[in-house]
Amino acid sequence: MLKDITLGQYFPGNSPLHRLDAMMKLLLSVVYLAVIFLIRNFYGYALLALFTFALIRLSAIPVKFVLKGLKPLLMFIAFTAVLNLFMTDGTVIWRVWFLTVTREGVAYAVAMLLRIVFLVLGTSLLTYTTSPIALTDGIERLLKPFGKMGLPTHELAMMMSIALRFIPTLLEETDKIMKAQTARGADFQSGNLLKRAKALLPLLVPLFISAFRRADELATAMECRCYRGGNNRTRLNASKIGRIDYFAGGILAVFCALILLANAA
Amino acid sequence: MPLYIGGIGLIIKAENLSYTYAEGGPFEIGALHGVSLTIGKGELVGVIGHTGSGKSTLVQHFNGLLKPTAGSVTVCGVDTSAKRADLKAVRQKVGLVFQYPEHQLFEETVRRDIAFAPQNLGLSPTEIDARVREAAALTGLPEALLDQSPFALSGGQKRRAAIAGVLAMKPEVLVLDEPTAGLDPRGREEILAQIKALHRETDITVILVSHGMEDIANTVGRVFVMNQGTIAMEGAPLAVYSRYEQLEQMGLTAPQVTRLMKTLCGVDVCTVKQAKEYLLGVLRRA
Repeated sequence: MLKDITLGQYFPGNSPLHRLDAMMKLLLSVVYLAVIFLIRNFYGYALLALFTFALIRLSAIPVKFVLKGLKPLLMFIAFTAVLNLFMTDGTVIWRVWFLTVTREGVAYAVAMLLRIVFLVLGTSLLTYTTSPIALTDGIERLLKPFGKMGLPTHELAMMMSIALRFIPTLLEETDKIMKAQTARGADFQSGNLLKRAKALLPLLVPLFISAFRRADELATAMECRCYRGGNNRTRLNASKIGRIDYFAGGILAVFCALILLANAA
Repeated sequence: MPLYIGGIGLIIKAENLSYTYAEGGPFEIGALHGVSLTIGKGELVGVIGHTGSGKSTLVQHFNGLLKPTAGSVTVCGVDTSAKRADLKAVRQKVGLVFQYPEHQLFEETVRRDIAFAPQNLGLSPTEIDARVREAAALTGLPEALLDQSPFALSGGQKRRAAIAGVLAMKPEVLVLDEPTAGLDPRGREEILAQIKALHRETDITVILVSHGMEDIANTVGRVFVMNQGTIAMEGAPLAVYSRYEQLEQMGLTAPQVTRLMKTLCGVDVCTVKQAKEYLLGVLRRA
């Protein structure tokens, strides 16, 4: 039921990708995503594919597992590609009934498909190799400059890490309540839309009650330990940008240069 | 092999049952490894084991909520892993009360919450009403509470209401997962006494899951000890508890009275009542 969601999951490990500093990894991922949109020809995509699969190998995460992250988006990807295939104007190469396929359309559809696939692969590689805690820590450090402008960066990061922390808990809770109601004869899987929405009530009411209870308990526990926001707070495991991070930055810079060269080819 | 006591037939049979959570993923956990057991009709059995030993996973197989990764489970003559198994019928025959069942309450009144299961069975309003009253009476819920919100009840009352919600299906087998967790000593004794009374008065089969050794000793006729996803011991409570050195290695502790009597007199008992009888016998002879 809920076990098929792999997007945004953390896959523990100790590869070089896992060891990169979270803030650096975030920055490098943004650069990687931006580069995808710079590519103009086939050589560029070949390079991108090579680079991405090298990264997956380096991360020591099973290729099958990474590709599984694409599965929920399959419909979306297919839809985008088909739309682009038929809706682009240009030199007609094939026509049947009211559908026309153009040379530009084919090129555009393939480019779009490749872009989305690599966008998803790149971002899922980021979340697979970074624990949620490290990720929010990285975001907090990235946002720090905006703190001087009055943005409550620490509070935002804290809210994010609490939200992330409770996703598995709530999933577990949902699973448990679903089982308990199924044991009482509830049926979540059949009937029309209205019937199914109604069937969710015995699931949602207990889920909300437990979420509110947990929030209340967490707030009390934080107050008991004198939590008062980010002022003068120091970290137990302060993450620092080190040699491996500069090395990774260098590799990505070389990759960007190669892409630009390929564009000129 | 004395497999079941006082029963006339099999109601649950597990053969070489194995179960793995998140199979194939990075967090794959084997929860059960080759568990085989039989439970007879009308029995009152206990399942003990420390946290994570696979007790809850095992009992979820008994009403088809989980299907075995390997091996098979037959409940009331239905193989739950068969493709066309009528799981809805199995779930009606095997009532499963989860840990902290009060967390599943959702209706506006206790009456309507208890009526949830019989309603799902598609019974007539008069039959539903009769079943609600009967289930409330069996769990000792006063009639006056039935029209209150379930969230206004005390902890013990909420638990009774939730158990009544399962009993209203009139199951042939009642499985209770840690029914006394988080209750005060008095609430615990009341719930256990009610379970015993229920078993005495109806011909229901009861499976009681717990890590409270005292709870089990005072209540059940036969006990399975689970350890690391396998059944480590099986037998009458007295026979199992007399091997308490082994139990301690599995992270379980025998009842205090068992250890006390073994150290003082070298005899095996598992309830205070048995200890009292033994001591009175000694006094009389003296």
